[in-house]
Amino acid sequence: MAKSEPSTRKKRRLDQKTAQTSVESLRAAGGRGAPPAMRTNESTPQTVGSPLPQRTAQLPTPVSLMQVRRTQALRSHQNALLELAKSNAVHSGDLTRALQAITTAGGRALDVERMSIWLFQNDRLSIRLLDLYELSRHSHISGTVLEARHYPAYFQALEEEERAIAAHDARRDPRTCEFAQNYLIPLNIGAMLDAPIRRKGKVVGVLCNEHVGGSRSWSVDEENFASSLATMVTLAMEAAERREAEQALRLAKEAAEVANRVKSEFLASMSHEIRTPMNAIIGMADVLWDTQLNPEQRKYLRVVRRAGGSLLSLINDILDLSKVEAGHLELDIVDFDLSDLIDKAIEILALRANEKGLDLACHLSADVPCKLIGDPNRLHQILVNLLGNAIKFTDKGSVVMRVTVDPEVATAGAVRFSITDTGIGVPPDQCETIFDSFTQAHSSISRTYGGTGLGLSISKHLAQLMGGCIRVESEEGRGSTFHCTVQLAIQSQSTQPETSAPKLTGFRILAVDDFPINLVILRETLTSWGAEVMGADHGSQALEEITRAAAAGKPFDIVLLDCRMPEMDGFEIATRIQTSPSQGRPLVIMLASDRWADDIARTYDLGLAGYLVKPIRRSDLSQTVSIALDRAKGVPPISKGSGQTSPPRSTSSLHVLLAEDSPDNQLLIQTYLKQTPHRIDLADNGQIAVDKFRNGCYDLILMDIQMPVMDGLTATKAIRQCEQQEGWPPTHIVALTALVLKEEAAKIFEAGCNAHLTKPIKKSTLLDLLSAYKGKLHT
Amino acid sequence: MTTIKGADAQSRITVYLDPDLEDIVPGFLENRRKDVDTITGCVEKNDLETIRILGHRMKGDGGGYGFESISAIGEVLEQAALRRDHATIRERTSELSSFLRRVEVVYKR
Repeated sequence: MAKSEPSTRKKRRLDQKTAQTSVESLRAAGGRGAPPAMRTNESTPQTVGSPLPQRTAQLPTPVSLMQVRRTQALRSHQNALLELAKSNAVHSGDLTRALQAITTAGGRALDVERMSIWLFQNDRLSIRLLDLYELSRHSHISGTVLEARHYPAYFQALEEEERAIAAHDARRDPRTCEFAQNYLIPLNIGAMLDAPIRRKGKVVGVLCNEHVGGSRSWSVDEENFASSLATMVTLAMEAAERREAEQALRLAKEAAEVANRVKSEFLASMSHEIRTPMNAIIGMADVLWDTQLNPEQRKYLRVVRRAGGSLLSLINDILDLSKVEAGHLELDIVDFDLSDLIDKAIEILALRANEKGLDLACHLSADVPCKLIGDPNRLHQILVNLLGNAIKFTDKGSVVMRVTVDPEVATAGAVRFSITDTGIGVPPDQCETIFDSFTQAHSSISRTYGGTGLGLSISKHLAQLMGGCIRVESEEGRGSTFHCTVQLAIQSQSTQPETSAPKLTGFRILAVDDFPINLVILRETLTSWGAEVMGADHGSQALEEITRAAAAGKPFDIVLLDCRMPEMDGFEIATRIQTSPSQGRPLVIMLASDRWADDIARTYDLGLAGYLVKPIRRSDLSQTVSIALDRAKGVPPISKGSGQTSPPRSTSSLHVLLAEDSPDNQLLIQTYLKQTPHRIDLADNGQIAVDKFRNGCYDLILMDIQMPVMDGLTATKAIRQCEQQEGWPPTHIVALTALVLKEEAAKIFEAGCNAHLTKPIKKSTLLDLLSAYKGKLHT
Repeated sequence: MTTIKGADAQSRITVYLDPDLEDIVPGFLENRRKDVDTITGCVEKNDLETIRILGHRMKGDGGGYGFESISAIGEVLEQAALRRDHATIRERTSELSSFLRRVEVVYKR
């Protein structure tokens, strides 16, 4: 409590009294245009501009004067705090600006000459002045340091006091009297109100209010106000730290982006530099492969070629990814046919799907424009990657690609490819991360299924470059659907009809397949070519349809028959059609699978109109149907490729290993191949075949199953094991056997054979088989 | 393509084959004649496993050379050996021997 008031303080109070004690002046202060600190309590009833009430003429009592003053002071404090709370300065993260705003507003509201903010130094042995506001000079200074050892009582009080240190007479107060000689007397400071600044329960600094002149009695309201200002300092410090952290994060992010760009550019450049010599290494290894080598040398060279191929493929992936990430990948803009592109992608994957016994099909909706403009190579890359993944992660069931107009985009040329498999699926929490580079759904995946995890990432980037995206819907253990959308342009002459499509108007066709999507594909494709198409999903239904159509006088012209169906297979239906007494039998085209080389052979044997190897491709279907119709009309077929019963045979050479114990059959096969460029090695039993395989290099192995010493199944297993151990690519093995029982066939495929051929082997069947494999080795 | 003319035991059986096989067919038929002797010996020694193997080979090879009858005989021999059916083995061996005596090959495209 101050014992004597200095003249300035007294004068100010008198001035205030003169100005504010009359109710009229209070009203004026509370009216519009007065500073906020001067406004009266808004709960007081009043009407601006209305006549003053009678009691305004009465003199105020001392009690009411105190209340009015307190109200004024509180309002002033509240307004200052409100102003600070709204102020950008406090929350800006700029600590200097924030502290200046606090000392300025606080000093004015508390009516003290000096308000300062001090923070403990790290060693907590001193405090440092961050800002001092002097009311009369309107100036801010900073930088002074006070050491604890010189003012022990004050520092102790700071640590121990719960509330603000309210030193009404600072020169006598035991907590502050240490400052008297060096500080209080020279600066004429009479009272101090110091509020500790706390963070997380710890005192980190102090907000000091210094009254110049005599002592001053600090009210509880003033103490509270000082404490509130100290809290405001805490908020400002936190905002500053937040800004500092954000800045650090931004800098780190910018640095990371720069580093990533530099990395991508480096990788792109390095990959290119590596690829050039790699091509030379692989090329020379290929040349060396065709020279005379002993078995040991050939074995080493095989490792070089395989490792070289894998490395080149990886480098190409990295090159693609880094090009995309560095923004260097530019897409071609050329005309292409979507249907052709899909056929090519399917063809590449057909062998792999066949080997795993998977149904692979592609359904291209009729409303999807096919004459498009874009980058066919990159689109092909995406489709091969997505289809390849689907096949890779599916052990049983099917992989189906549906191509539709993107339903979510109104622009013409927006196409959606949805690839659905019945494979292992993707766990829900990894549906996003599988698109990251070098990431697969499980770490065990790469061990089990191989791969770097780059393909999906590249495909996603490519789809984005094409104005689309890739997303996945999946159920673990049930399968996945990958949706890829792209935005392409449509060729201006795209309204022209498909020139290669056969004209089937007036023809009636029956499609028979137990795999529903194949029926949909056949029905839609053939209908779009003008045919009237019926479908049947099993043999007896097919025979009923054929009989009914014939009875109605509208027999089918063509029947497309799936070779393998439960209950009644395609050949049984074909035989029944051929032996039926009715006139005008339909042309029969078989839907075969590469896995069953027999199916193709049987098509020849039965003299049917042709065959299609699944998955069904539009171009193959078009050719096969056209050739079959031409043949029926007596027009000689024009050799175009697969589908006709006399496909062209490749002239390039295959190296074949024949494992066969019968010398007569060895001689027969050798005779078959005498006039072809293919080379053949003989093995009298399975053991010799395995030994020759280890030391030689073969494109294809013909494996008799029943042999002495080691049978064909054991030899095949040994070869597959050897390939796995050595990391060699799998060689095609075709089982030769007279057995046709289902259980026996299952054993053959389980052992690792890729296809099955029934003895006796016809020359044409064998040459077709070699031709087909030759074609595949080149794709 | 195989065409059997006449059904009596003495008539010739003419088989039309691809000329590409002209070099190897005589050897194939000669080997079957040796098989007849081998099987006859095996029956006496009760070596049914050898008969089964020879029957199996005939079944696989005959059709490839164009002799469907040899394939058919081979299949029965293989099964008979598995059943230890000596009577059928003797019967089919005799049938094979008869076929080999009467067969006449014509090479024709």
